Amino acid sequence: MKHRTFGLHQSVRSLLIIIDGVSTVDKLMGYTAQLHEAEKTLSWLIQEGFVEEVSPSQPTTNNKSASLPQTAPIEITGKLALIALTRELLGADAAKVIKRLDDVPDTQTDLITAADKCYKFIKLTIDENKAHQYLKASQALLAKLG
Amino acid sequence: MTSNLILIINLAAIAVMLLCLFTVLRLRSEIPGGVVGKQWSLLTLMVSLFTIGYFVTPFFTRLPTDVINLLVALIFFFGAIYVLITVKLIYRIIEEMTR
Repeated sequence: MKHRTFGLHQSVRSLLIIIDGVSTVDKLMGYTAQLHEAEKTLSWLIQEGFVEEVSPSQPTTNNKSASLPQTAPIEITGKLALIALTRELLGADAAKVIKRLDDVPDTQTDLITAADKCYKFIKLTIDENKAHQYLKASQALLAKLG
Repeated sequence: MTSNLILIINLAAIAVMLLCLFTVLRLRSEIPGGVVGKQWSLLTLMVSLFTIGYFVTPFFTRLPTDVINLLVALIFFFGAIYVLITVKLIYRIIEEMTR
């Protein structure tokens, strides 16, 4: 994932970053409420072998996973989730906002403050509607991860 | 002497206005939308109009008095609108940043 070997689309990559091998599909869909067609993307990731479907009682790895790309385990942090959300929501305009998240410490309080600053920045310079969506989604995301 | 001074001032005004136009257009790509982006489009249009108007100023002495008076009135009017947009924009930015 780090070297982007498979050239995945950004939305697929964002979802892949969030998958931690522990969270249930419902929980993942909660994190990715703003991702376009997240369920379809998840099915595609399973079909292509990037992630593996397991039942709650089943261990998260088996023999098949040895041949799978090295995607898990990746710890999902609030900051990563916020960056993924920013990319998904803003597309080409995301870079300017992500730059503002780079130096933010990965703590709940700092991320809430940073998300609010990003909201203001988006509202002033990118898109007012997207800014409101961003604020709602980031608050929901950070509340769930916190 | 006086006409030369007027011409120099007019040319200086045109140069400053061209600089304004260049700055406004350069910043335009940095601000695709949002509160500032919307107002910026309007400011870009007004700066463009002012720039065109300023190019006429060196020929003012050749124009009839009535036309000059009308042009001056229009410049004052659009100047006032420009200031209003700018002040409102600054107000919105400060309001958003201090909220």
